[in-house]
Amino acid sequence: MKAIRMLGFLVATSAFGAEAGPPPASTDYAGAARQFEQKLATSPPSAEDYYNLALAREKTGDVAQAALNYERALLLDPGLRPARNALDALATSKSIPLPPHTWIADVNAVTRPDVLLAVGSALFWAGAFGLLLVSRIRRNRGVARAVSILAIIAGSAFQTAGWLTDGRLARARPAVVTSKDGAEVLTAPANNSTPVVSLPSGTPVGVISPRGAWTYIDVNGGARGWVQTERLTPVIPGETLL
Amino acid sequence: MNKFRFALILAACVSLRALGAVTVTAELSADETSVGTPVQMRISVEGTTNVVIPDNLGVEGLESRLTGRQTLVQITNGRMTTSGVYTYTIIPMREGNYEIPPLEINADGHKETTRAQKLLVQAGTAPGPRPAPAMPLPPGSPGRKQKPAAAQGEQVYVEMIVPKTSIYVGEVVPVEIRVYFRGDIGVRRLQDEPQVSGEGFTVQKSAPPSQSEETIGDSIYRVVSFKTSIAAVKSGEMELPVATMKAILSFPTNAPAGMQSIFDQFFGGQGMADDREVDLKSKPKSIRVKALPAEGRPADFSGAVGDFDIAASADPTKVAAGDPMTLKIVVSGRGNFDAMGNPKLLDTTGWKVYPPTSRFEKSDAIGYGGTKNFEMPMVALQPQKSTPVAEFSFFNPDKEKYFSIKTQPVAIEAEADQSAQPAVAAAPADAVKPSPTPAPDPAGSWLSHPTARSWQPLAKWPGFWIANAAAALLLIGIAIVLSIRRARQGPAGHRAAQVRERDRIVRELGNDRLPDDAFYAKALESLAVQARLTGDHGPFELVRSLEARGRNVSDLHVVLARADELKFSGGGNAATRLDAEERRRIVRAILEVCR
Repeated sequence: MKAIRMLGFLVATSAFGAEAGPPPASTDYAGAARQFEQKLATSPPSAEDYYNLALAREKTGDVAQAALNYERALLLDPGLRPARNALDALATSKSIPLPPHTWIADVNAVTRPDVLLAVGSALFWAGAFGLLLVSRIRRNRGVARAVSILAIIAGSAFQTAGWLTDGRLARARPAVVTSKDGAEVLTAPANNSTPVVSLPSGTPVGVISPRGAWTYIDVNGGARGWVQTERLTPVIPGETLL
Repeated sequence: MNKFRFALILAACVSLRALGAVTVTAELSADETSVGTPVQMRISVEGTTNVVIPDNLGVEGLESRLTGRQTLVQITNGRMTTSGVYTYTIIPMREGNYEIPPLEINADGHKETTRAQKLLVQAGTAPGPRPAPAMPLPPGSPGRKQKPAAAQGEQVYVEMIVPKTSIYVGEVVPVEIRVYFRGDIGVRRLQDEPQVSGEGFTVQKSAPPSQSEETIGDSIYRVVSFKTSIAAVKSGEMELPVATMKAILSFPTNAPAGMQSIFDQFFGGQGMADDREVDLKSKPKSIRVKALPAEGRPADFSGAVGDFDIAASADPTKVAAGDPMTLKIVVSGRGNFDAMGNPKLLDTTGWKVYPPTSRFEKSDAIGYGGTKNFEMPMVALQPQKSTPVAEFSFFNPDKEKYFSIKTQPVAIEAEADQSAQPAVAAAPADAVKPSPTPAPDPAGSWLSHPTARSWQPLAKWPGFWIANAAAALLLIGIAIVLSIRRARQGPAGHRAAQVRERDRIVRELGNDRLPDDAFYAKALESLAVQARLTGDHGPFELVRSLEARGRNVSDLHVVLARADELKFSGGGNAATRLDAEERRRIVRAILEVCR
């Protein structure tokens, strides 16, 4: 039994890394969140760490930071099912509007956009070289030509899918409403303009055009309008909405 | 043709986002009217709120003006829909049979067109405008279709319609708050939603309002209605919550006739109206709130009041030892979903059951009806063929009694979990100090083994583009080299290639294991290639020309004859089988020719 506990400890501590120190007490989710933040600040980003951070934030009741970090985990690894499930559950319980389910989610559940792009490129070039060199072979030239053309088509399709399914390449940069009282989407960048929709804290949005104190956003491919920039946090850390 | 096919396949492979559809419909509030009596035309645009619409209809004899814009953004179950309703008020100036032509609308950059509408304008009194459909209320609603007679003649008033005169504690009652504005009152600004407050009641957030028009007495009223629901928290004779709203209204002043346009006369134009902020308030009403009866109350009753159904399913239905499965219980109907407790599993022997998560999906704007989904993770501790039965109890206020409803057991196949431990990873803290009960968190546990990733997509990584550029350059380089080699070959290169081809065939003739028919075929082929090199028309002409020059070609005649024989007879015979010496002689003769 002691050995099992020790094994569990080793598995669990690997999530924190050497610099993160010992894991927190069983109910100290705030402490866990701090440790994950510390690790993320000093190590390369990982979807698993952002998921753990989000989970800890959710336990502490910080819905906005939980949603933000689930979005970060999913941007790094769109196929991370625990993060998708947790975000869906959080959105349902807190009435946070999420984008509708599309084919992109289905593709992301199978593989990552980077993999699609890399495999697509490799297939495309293999097909292109094959087509060029097919005249040098003496036997089964027709089959070789067909295989080359198929590789080019499949490679192009994979590359296109890789581009379209990568949230980091989306025209609207991803952000999340992180102000405690949510954000009011307005028709114009002025406080007295007509409201379009109220977004609760934790709502993911797409930033179309940041303009200083106001930012023009797209809400889940539906409504568009202006929100106060200070109410948003970019999903990609280090980005600024200026 | 092939290129066209490939283009089609490529286009089919490249999936693009489906474009959102925009639908535009137009509807007149009445098909007939009389001179001077206004009707309304509503243009409904679904799918976008980015709409450019003309200010008037431009029909001679009909004064028209865009008098209402209502945009609606709804988020239901996380999905967003947007729509807009644009209202034209039409005042006929003279009688006739009018056709309002199709209206061109720019919706989200696309041109959409409405259907033409027909309007008959008579000289006399026209039938009143067709009232817009009112909010559906439960049967027996005293407020349904009821005209507030006492309010007739008032310019503005608020009415709260409650479909019942007595309710139970916890019962959710849908109510409608209607704000009536007489046609000559201009509405400059109206509060987004009414404030509904009253002691002893909980009030839900109002759904987005709808607008309609009603004729009460001799006056036309514009009606803005808000739907919400209330629930009493204590019993007794209670005062219903009062709805209050702030509005800035424009009250008409008596301007001299002829100084106003026809619209100003109807709605009070600027300079001929008095704008005032008005506090609107519904009249107080009382309602009897009854306590839930103690008699017949089930032990597991958790406060659900309404009318519900229950169903269950399991996912997956076949699990191995230690694998968790999820029992999904769906409670649907109408009532107080907020106060609803979890369904109870009747017999959980042999199961390890974790606390459920729940998710509510409302089926109407106010959350009165809907579906609550409970998901219970569970692990079989012994072999199981079906899930436990779930029971749910509620009080039905219409039938005034308690009900306990049960699910059917769901057929499954589950093997026993020998370790009797949940198959979820432990949290770091739990690993250090295991809690007495495993973390009951089906939403997720800590994830270990983090994989380093990057915020920079592969498509923005310089190495990706360098690799692609290198591949492209290599492809172009190879293509150029091949082209140059082909160009360099010319006639001399072609001849050299033929010599290589001939020598290769002759080398193959040295293979002793080559069958006779293959030997003769290759010998003939080598002579054919040699004939091309010497400019002769085939091997026969080559042999003849050699013979004419006095060369001994008897072995070559054997080759020609035997090759022909094999070609036409389909095979050799034992009598003419080649021996090794004969083969060498033929090869020597061919080499002599090639020299």
